[in-house]
Amino acid sequence: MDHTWDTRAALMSAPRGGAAQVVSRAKKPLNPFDPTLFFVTLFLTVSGICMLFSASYAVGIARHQSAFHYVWKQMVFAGIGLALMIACSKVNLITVRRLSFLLLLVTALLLVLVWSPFGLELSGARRWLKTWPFALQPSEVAKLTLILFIAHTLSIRQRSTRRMAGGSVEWWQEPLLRAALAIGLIAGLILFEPHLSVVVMLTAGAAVVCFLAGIPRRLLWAAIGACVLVGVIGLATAKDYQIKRIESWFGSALTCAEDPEVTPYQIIQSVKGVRAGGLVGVGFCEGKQKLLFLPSAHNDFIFSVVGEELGLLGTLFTLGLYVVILWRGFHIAYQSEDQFCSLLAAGLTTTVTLEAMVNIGVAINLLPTTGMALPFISYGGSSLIMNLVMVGFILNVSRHSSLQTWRGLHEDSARGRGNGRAHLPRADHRGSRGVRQPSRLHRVRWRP
Amino acid sequence: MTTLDETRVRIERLCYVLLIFIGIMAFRLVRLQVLQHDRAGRSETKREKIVPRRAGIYTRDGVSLAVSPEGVRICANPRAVLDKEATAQALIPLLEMSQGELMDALDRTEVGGRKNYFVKLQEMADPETARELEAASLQLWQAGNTASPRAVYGEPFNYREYPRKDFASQLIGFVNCRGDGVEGIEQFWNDMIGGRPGYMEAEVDAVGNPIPNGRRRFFPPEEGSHVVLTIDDRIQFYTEQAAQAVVDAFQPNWVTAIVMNPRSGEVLSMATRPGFDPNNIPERLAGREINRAVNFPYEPGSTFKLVTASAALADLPPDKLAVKVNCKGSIRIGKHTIRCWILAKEGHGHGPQTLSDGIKNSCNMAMVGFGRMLGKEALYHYAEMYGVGEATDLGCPREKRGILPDLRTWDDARLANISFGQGLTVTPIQLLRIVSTIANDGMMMQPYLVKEIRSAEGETVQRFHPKETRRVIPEAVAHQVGAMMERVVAEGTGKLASVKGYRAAGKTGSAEKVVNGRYAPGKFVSSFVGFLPAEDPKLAILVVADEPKGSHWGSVVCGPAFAEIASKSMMRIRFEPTLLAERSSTASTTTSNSPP
Repeated sequence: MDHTWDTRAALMSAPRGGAAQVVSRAKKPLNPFDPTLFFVTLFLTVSGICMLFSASYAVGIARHQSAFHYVWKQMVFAGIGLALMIACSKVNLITVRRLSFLLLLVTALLLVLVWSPFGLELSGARRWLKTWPFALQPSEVAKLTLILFIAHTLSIRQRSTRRMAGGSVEWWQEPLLRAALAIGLIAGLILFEPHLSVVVMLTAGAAVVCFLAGIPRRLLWAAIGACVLVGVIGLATAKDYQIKRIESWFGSALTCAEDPEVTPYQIIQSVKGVRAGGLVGVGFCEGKQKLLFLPSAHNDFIFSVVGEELGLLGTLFTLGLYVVILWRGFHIAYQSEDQFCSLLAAGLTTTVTLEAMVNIGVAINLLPTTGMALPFISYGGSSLIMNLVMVGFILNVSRHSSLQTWRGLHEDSARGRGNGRAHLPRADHRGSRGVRQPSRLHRVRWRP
Repeated sequence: MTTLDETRVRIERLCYVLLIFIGIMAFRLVRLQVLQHDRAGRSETKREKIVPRRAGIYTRDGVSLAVSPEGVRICANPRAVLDKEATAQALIPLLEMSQGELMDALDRTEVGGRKNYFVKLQEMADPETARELEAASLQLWQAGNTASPRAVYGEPFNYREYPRKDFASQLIGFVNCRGDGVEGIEQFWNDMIGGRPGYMEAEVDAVGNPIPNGRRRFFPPEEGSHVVLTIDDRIQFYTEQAAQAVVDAFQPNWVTAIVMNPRSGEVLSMATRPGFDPNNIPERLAGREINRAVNFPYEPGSTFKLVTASAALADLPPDKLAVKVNCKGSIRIGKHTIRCWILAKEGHGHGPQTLSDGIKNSCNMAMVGFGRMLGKEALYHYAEMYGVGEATDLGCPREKRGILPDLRTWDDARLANISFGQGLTVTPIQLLRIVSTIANDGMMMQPYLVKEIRSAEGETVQRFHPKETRRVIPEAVAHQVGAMMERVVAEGTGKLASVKGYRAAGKTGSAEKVVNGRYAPGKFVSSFVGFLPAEDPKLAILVVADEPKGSHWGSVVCGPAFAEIASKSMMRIRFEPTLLAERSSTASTTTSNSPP
């Protein structure tokens, strides 16, 4: 039997008024969000701004006559992002879930709008929208909305269940198909920009959500087989120079030695910086590679600056922070009682950490070159804000998840609002605090 | 199993996969940062040469022959230019170059596979233009078109100017485009004049700007020192003038004239005509031997008879000296026939000749006779003592030593030839040294060109003094040779060289010229060498003309030039004419005490 209360129930069972009622009832007993995840994110964002200063002053002076040009902007983005993160950790997930399809459509619209006069073309790619006060990158938004939609659509009860419940099922109501269509739509639009690395990341994130949603094993194997097949066909039809590049990358990834003939300039510079760092680094702001030797030191290759200036200690610490995010995010997903919440948290966590891992992997020449921002640290408004918003949603899920917290809350309900924090007593609109009913949202599994 | 349970299982598996990948990355980081730390390579540094201002070259009386005005040249850093079109647009009105040239210059971001941070846009710009350009560069930077406020800049540059143009040009030499002396005094004293360049070494960013907190090392430059020559401005001018007159009259390949103070060895002038303007050096001159006075060895011909004569006077016993050699116009030695010049001119020989007559008439036969009396060892010894085949170490680059054939190769014919100056070579300065030795009572002086070195502030840091090389012949012999030379001017071949008001001593020379190893018919090197006043020599003067047309007699071609240089130079050194009856000898000695 399915004890899990899911947001779907709220959507399906009650009319709009009813749903609103559920929301208002569900609001009260929520947990505080996961403090570890929150503070690690906050720490990454703030220390990222410091690191960004070091990485960007040279290019700031060279291009904008101000060492603080990027830092000021990033600080504004961080402010907006942190505010949005807290806001997103508070919104009602049921509302979000209900709006997920609409959000996906809006994203698709934005992705189409880059081709309108609002779009901004930079070095042959239309990835930005001219929005005040900064250019918006709709593909960053797409990462969130796509995962929201897929998590939503895949946690809808399966067709058989629906049929047993007497509902009629059309072919287009098949969740996996809808998910695939959504992925195809968004990925196609972004591919058209073109922005290949985002397509890959987006598809990977969506695929992870599909995988976690429990798609059948044979489908999984089929998908893996299809990937392998595409890879083989790709290799078979690849041109000589492409093969050579792959070979060179593969060789240098294994041997840890770059071939200056084939390895791209920025990778050579990036690895040079990382090597120069040594165990403890050359010191904050003392790095040399960012002085216009390393292209886009302030965004795609900021990890190399970390490596050069803070050394192995700094890089491992940074890597550790992403591991903490991974651990907390998956923990939250694991503990979630709701399929949608679980998929959402796991999907978003994967997106954030995978992006970090790809960025770092590129910076240390472990992966082929792609333009990928390092979450929370790299310069870039859309990226920073959207990453913070994603963490905001993970935090939101965390408020619904923890079994222990709920139990503690339930047992110590006499203690204030139950979040373990001191607070002023206040008039509760539902009257006495002590008689609060456990919400269906927090029904625990082991209670029959 | 519910879907949620399946999800949890899969979350766990995904987590493991990601952690494995993170582990690989951590391992890679350890490998890169600890194990391969020393492979990182050094940061880029730029070494900037700081060239000190080149010091000047002056005549002994302080006239500038070479100066370095403060100049600015316009340079650009092509790697710092981000928007070439916009940059070119802004700079074109300020520069004297076309759009295409400027674009080409800005395109040179790499030279020979190395990063290039420097192109020269314009030479010798005025400082006002340079300031305007730097202001424009700042604006370009602010507009984001360049990555550095100093993408285009004016840089102080060592320019070299020769205010007297072709005056003593072969002697002074010139500098190359990098400001290094490559010829003449400029080359020989390059280290002294140029000073020692300093260096500024700084770590730079990718566009070549020094890093504010980067490593920096500064080696200050050492200022160059001024070189004051022994050359006298006026005498040099007279010499140039007289040499030019010879060039105009006889169209020789070139004419060299040198004036030397025989008492000290100071070279008072050294002129070669035709000259060139070192401000605008023809390409062909670079690295060529242009200063004929020191790098043209030629067969001296009759002027060398002075060596034979002094050797005879010094070595031969009186009975042999008193012998009169009968000149029949030609003589047969082995299979060679040696002719006297008079045979071709007048069809007969000089007749019986004493040594003095032989010098006066420049008789080859007389010299052959005395040479044979001397023997080859003695003649070789004196030629060697007179410095034939030995560089004068005057202080000029590419000085030639001339050839004194090895004694073992001397046979009778060679002895005969050498006794009248064929079959060996000397440079003009060597020949003048020989005559100066005679003028200086047989004591050879070291010829020199630099009087003193002055620091950049103008203080004398080094002074050069006359230096005796060696005694070649006894004083009495020198006086005897001098007397013979006086006869040459007074009554012999050198009448055209007589100097009004002075007793001059001299010797003509019309040597056959060797071209490609054999004597070329009709090609001569004419010369006249002498000193004055004969009783107390103040100046020794040599005039040499290569392949004069019209006449080849040393007296005709070079004699008048000698006379002109001599008379004007004597006035210059305020040595009053001694042969004027009105002048008392006391008056002349009081004014003669200060040789230049």
